[in-house]
Amino acid sequence: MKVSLAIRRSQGGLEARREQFSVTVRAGATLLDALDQIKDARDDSLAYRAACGSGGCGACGVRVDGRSVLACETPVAPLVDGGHVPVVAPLGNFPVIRDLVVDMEPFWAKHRAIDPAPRVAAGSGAEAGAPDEVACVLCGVCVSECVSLAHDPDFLAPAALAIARRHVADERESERVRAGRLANVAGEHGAGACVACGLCNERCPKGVEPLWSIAELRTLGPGGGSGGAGPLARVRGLLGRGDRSSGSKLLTALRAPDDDDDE
Amino acid sequence: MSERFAYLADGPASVDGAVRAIAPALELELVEVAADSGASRAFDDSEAALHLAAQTLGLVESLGLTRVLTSSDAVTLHLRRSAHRLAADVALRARVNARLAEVGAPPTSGAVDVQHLVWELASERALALLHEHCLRPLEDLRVALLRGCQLLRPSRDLGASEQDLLRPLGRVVAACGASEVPIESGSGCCGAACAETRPEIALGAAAVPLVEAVDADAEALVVASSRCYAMLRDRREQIARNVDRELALPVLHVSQLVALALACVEESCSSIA
Repeated sequence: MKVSLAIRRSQGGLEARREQFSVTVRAGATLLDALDQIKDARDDSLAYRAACGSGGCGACGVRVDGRSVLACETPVAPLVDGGHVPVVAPLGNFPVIRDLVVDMEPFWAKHRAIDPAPRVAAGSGAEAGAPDEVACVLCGVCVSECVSLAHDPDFLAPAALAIARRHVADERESERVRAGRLANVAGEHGAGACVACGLCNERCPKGVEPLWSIAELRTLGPGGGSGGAGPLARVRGLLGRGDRSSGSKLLTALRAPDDDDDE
Repeated sequence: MSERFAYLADGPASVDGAVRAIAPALELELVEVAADSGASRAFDDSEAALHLAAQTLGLVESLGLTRVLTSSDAVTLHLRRSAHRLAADVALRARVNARLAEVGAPPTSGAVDVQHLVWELASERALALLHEHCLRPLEDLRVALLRGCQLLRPSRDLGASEQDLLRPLGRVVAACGASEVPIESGSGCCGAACAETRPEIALGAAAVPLVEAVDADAEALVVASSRCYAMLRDRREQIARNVDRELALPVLHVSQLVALALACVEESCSSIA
């Protein structure tokens, strides 16, 4: 099958240009296969990242016609349907190093900022359950799409916040550690800066849902409705939040201590 | 035969007024329900938001209705997601209904179909009526569209593909006779969700569709969601100052565009009439 791709190319801060390549690929080829073919047969100076080729490493994130994807998991045939020439560009919201290669350092800085390692004592056993965020391969696709990040480059952004939520939900961590994590993501550039556009959920190639992770962090955090962890504590602290008359009776009931609330 | 819905009249008065005005021609029987859906708390007080959604759904069911109509993207997403969770999780439903019982509110089964207005307007039934009653086709009107991010995503929670969710607004606009001016940010975000917590982000996001629409020579920006409408209309001066641009473009909710085409509530559309 013959495919043509328009690739956004740039180097060393020079103005980007689009360059069109046509190659022949096998049936069932992925976008990464097509990029490999272009590099092998057309222009070996083309720069892009790839490693495992099977969706596990998260290295090959790019944008196709404005949509962020993992190249190795994206079949190329639908992209070129009807003779369409898709535009392949580097991930958004990242500085570009060259062609399709972006500088991931801002991403890793935010990852470090949320303290990505579990803070558990030796012998604490395994993490309970299987939180959705475990599936994150740190590819940066959600970050590439993030509307808030486009307007606040310091926003922690969906990937780091999803990992933070994973640890907040880890019952092996102490309350003190959990409170520290929640405070850490509650600042100006934390969870409250999310516009809730849902692009992170929609584009995540692994089915992680950062939007709902962020909502939980906001609920549990100092500015949220929880006032602390636990299902009973979570619904407290709702006074003075502009309750509408239609809901205030219910909200008052939610705030009231339960008989089984031992706090 | 009319389609009967509970209608959550919690949008701007001009939007709710337009919805009421177009309903008879489109054979929509709206039973207005005054309730807080909890959508405004969905990202900050998720537990309270769920309970408020349940209270709203329970109220709708107690009226013998099984369908809710809303003009807001956020309310659509929140109520649909809440209804699904409550219907699917017996223990959760029992816990929430116990709370509702404490305040004398009727319980919910979660079996309520939550529809956004634009989805209903884009149904074959409503489009046929729109064509039939369109007294003033807006043939000379060039409009850019903003579909409302929470009417598109997360598509898993909305029950259709993002591609399918993109279509209804364009169909309604075409049925009104107006022509769409494509803009890149038509499936983007107006920023309303963080207008209070991070207004500079919200204003920056809101500017994008307005600027693109102006640059594309659109005569109006038509939005699917009453929340986007309120954000773009009420904060337009701030948005314009923020990007140092003149953004004197009328913003219309889709119900107002339909009202213009049906020539039924001109007063609610004075910005463009």
